[in-house]
Parts: sequence; structure tokens; C-alpha cells
Amino acid sequence: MSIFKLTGILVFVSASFVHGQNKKEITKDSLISFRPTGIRLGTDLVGIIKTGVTPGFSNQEFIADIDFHRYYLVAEAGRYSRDLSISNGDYANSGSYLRVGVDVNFLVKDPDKNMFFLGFRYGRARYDERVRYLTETEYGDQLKLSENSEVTSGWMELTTGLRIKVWKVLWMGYTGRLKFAPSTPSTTPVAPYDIPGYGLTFKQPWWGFSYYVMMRIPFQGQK
Amino acid sequence: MLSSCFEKGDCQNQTSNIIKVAFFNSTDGKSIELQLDSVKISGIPGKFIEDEELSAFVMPLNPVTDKSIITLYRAEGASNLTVQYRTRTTVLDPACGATELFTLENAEGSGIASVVITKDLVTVSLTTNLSVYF
Repeated sequence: MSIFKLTGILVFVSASFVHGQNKKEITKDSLISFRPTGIRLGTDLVGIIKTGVTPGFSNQEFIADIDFHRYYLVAEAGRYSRDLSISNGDYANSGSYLRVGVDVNFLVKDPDKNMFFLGFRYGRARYDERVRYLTETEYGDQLKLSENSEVTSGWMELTTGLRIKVWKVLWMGYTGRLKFAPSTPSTTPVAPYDIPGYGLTFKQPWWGFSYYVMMRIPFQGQK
Repeated sequence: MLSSCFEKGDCQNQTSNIIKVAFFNSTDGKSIELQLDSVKISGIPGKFIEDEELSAFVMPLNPVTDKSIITLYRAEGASNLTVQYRTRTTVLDPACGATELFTLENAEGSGIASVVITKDLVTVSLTTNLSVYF
């Protein structure tokens, strides 16, 4: 199901729960209340800090969300790379990922639009992997190179978190994720080890945490 | 994105590069013993087996190639087996390193009645991977 269809269903379901008003007023109010009031753009601080303190690791992630009443359409995009020493060689991974989904805000009446949310994401990554290692067999010690090129993987997430208005357009917040159902190809030269945006493939489910600093740009005529 | 501090996988490795080749009679399908003057395997210098009577033997596959040629020398003449396989590299954990999973894809021979892949996945359990019929 596309994200546009999902958002449409959520909008329809929400509208059906409005009580105590006649049909004409419901339609008018629904149109107004579901009009987006602004867009938030931000970046993940955890990835930046981890990039700074972890040798051979790099992760930059950006987020954008837009409100439709209590529903927020969210997109998170990132670049990821990792170089790792293994006991008989080295492993390298680089790629990018995109997560899209919807967060449902449970603090609808907050005047500053602070939010506590539960949500859902679908993630997709495209990445390369390379393993260079020494094999010790009856054929002697040999260096072997195995590579995956432009592999794609998908997964799903349940999310929760907070978004807090700090000052004027400045916002901060976190997202906790329960990641599950990763899909990996079964015939690649390297069995995928690490999926950008998901993590280690043999961890099912897996979890993640992002801490975002964001800027909210209100739309014209909105606060 | 932050991930858990527990990133270690399981080092238990069930993969192997050793296959078992067994000999059978093509008429009744029963196991037979062959008097082998010698066995040579491509990539391994010298004779892999010399002057033995065997109903089966085990041999290693080369992880950096995709084919092994086995030559059986007997008093009746030489027989050749060609085994094609693919390898898949697996990283279980940085501390365990990388290893390979071998899958037999094709086998053919000359100087034999037939050869059949009876188990394509090569694992530590030494069940017969190749059945050779004479």
C-alpha cells in the first residue's frame, strides 16, 4: 500500500470520529483541521556523534515531517558507511536508506504543537558490501574477495517518541524504533551482514534510537 | 541511529569445504569398493590419495574457485569428475571472521556410468554429497 493511500485512509477514519456537529459543519471543519500547518526539517544527532567517535563509521540522517491534524507524514533519509576489521580480514559497507511512514500525535490540543507519538515506518536501503579475507584450507592460504553491488533490502518499524518546541522555530525530539522483518537477497556473493538504516541482519527484531534537532517552517497563514 | 551494545553474533559454524564422494554399482545401486591407484584433485599438488581400496573418500573444495576436477586412476583406466559449485561469504561476527557456504551446482564425469549430487549444501555433517556410479 502506498504511503499516499495510507494517509488518505487515516484522514478518512479521523474525520468519521468527529461528533456533535451536523454534516455540513463536519465537512468544513475536517477540511480546515487537516490542512498542514508547517513542515519540520532536521538531522539526527546520534549519527553525527557516533560518526565522530567510532573509527570507520559514518552516518548522516535527515528527517522531514508534515502535519495533517494529528497525523504526521514522515520521511527519513540517510547515508551510511562502515569499515570493520574481522578476525581474518576486513568488511566494508556503504549505502543509503529511506524510511517513510506516519506518526500519530497524542497531544493534539497542545498549543505549541509538542507531540508524543506512535508510528509506523517502511524502510528501504540500497548498499554495497565487500569482504576481503584469508582462507586457510588444503589449497593453502589464499586471499578471497567477495562483493555485493547495489543490493536492496526492506524492513518495517514501529516507532514512538517526542517532539518538543525549544525556541521559536527550533525543535528537538527523539524516535525509538522497533525494527523487524528485514528482507535480504538469498543469492548474493556475500550474505548481507549489515543493512544501512536497519543494522545487523541476524538481529530480528532489532531496535534503534534517533535524536533529532529540527527546524519548523510554518506555512503561510499558519502558526 | 544508535544500535544496541550487543552486536555479537553466534560463532557456531555449520559450514565446511569438505565433501564426501561415494562409489556405487550402477546396476544394483549398492555401495562398492574401488581399488584406486591414486586420486588427483585440481589445485592440490601431488597425489591426494595413493593406492587404497575405498568405497568413499572426502575431499576439500577450493574457496577461491568455482570448480574442482577429480581424477581417479585405476587399473581399468582414468575417470574424471568435474564438480561445479558456488560459494557465499558469511560474516557471523567480527571475532569469528568470514567463512563460506558451499553449494554444489553441477557434476559430470567421464569414464564412469553417472554421477549424482545427493546433497548440494556442504556442511560439517559428512553425508554423501556426490554419488558416483560405475
